[in-house]
Amino acid sequence: MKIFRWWGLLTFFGITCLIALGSYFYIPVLVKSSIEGLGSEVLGAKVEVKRIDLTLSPIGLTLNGLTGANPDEPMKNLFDVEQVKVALDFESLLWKKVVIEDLNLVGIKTGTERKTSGELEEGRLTEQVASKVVEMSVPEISKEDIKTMVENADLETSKRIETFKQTQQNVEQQWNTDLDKQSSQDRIDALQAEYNRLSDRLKQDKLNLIKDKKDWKQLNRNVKEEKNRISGLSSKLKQDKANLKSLYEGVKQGPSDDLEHLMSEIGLSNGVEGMVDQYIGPQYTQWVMQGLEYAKQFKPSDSQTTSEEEPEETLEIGQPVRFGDKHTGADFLIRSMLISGSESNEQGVNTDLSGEGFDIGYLPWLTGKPAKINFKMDGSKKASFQINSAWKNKNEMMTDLKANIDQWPVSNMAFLKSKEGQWQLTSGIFMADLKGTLTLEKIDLMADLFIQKPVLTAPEKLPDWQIALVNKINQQNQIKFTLKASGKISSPKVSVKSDIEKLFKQAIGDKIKQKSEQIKLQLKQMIEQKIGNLEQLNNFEQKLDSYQAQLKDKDKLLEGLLGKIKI
Amino acid sequence: MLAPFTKVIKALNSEQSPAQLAAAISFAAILGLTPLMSLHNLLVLFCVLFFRVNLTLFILAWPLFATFSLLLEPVYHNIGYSILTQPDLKLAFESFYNNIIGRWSNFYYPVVLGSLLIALPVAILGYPFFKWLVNNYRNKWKDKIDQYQIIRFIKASKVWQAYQRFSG
Repeated sequence: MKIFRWWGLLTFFGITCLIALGSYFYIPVLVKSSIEGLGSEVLGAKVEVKRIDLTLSPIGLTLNGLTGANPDEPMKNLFDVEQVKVALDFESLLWKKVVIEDLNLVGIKTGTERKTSGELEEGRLTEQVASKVVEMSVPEISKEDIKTMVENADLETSKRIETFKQTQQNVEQQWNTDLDKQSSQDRIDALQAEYNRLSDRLKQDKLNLIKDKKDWKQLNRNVKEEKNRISGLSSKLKQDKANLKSLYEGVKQGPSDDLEHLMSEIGLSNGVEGMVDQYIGPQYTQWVMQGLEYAKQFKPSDSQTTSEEEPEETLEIGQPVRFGDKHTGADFLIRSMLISGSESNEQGVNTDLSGEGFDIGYLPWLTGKPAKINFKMDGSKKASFQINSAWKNKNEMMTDLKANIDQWPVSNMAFLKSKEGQWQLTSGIFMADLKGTLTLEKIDLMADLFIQKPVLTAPEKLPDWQIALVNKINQQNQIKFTLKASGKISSPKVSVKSDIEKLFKQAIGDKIKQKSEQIKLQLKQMIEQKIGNLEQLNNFEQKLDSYQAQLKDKDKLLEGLLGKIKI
Repeated sequence: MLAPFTKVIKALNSEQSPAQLAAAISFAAILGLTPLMSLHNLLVLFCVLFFRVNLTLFILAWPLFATFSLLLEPVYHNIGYSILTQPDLKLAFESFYNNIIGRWSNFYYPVVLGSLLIALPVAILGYPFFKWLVNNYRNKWKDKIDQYQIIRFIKASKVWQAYQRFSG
């Protein structure tokens, strides 16, 4: 029997050739769909590549017509690159490493017109966060609402009154018992009687003083004892008085605490200041929100290590287990990158774009060199960006960021979102100065952003004060924002201060103040009506004073007695 | 529906040796139980085509093993991962990783290694077993099985007639 099937050998080579040929045609399709899919997700708008050519000698790819739509203006491109040439290192490919020797981006243009919309039909994940719109409206509350609100409210004042009354009752009951005790009066009467007896005996015979010496001494001790008892009661009375006074102060403070609480429920706790925080805080400025969401994606180095070293179970071929690699270097590396292009604006003024990048790799600590990206624009737009990212190892990273935008005319830029719609920056000149350092644990970023000659278009049917705000912004020569981000990378402290806050206060100030005061007054009246007159609670002092007087009388009596005792 | 049965019966009744049929099932086990796009499967394909292995049985058995492997993937991962992370084997794996065949074999993926470690014993130990099965079928069970209604039904079907005519 023949063991070999010679035609099988031919078939095998035939199949191998077919696989190779298939790969040759399939790789460009795969690269195209990867760039379009990943790019669109990152940009939030369609990223498209017209054609990809694969060259075998030297091995590389050429991307023709790479465009990325502007997420805010889907009928325009954010970038339009004529050609991207990628030259790959063949030897590294044999070791399953993609090393790009040269990456040339030629003919970059920005803001070119599109024939079809570049909007992503289903959007992307980060956009869901940004679409959280701010409800910019001054609360509308009727008098009836206020009445119901106060009636249903569990007022702090009522609770405090209840506590005060209960305490007062207990104190009074206690003192009535203490002071009405017959034994106390009996003791004083007995002391008085003893004194009278001994005095009478002394009057009868002076020598009785010597005879009654012991009794006189005993009387002296007893009077002092009783006096101490009364002094103790007097101290206790003072303490009770202080306690009741403090409770009473709490009761008096109650209505204003309740008022503040109810005002905060309506959203007017801090008047205009509160409204500024509520409406122009960083949480409602879209780009700050997006930045925060991106920052939250960073995790401390510990968790990164864990996820890499302990791969999860997977139904595909799984996470690779990494072994010491003699062919050191990142799995993906761009050794050198050159960017060039130009664009001209409507007035025909050119802007030259140029940039370079070195040693941009994944995983970055395997590149052995810090990654550098420098990018410059000069002409009608003037800007420069510098990033320098050094990774000592997978747990230590230090990235320096510098960006300077001297002049960047903007048009139709998304500014704010309210329930009425998008607030669009129709025109203006954007300037920025950003400096920062980023590690895997910390962020320290400071940015001054300016918009010169802003022209803002707001949605229709805005409330009066919002129209006033738009008008005030449009009257400004320059608006300044100061952004600070610092602290842990997973939960950075972000603060945004801007001139808009002042304008906001001016725009809404009078209206809010007036309305806020009106609501406050109505609430105050309703609270007072519900809790009644607090002044009547103030009579506790008179009663306690009368107890104090009783004790004083007794003390005076005993004092007199003590003065008359002969020994 | 009946075509695969007729093909199996035809292969079992053919004049090919039991070794050729058993080898087909063994190679199908490796191809089916391990991830298809792996370097070792190119070698399997070469063996199947170059050596006189029954192609019909190989093509029929492969999807069966492939379906079965879907259920075993978590097991592959656990086995592969525990072996890849053995400290004693680290040096050996590292030197294999640092040559081109090692790099393209994808062995450092737990599922690839785990599945190969299961597929190889199945193929090697299965070979004498499959051979024994074919021998027993031909010598003992064939006559009995031919009496079954289903087999009679298959043999009487048009598919069988056509297949007989086509394969000569």
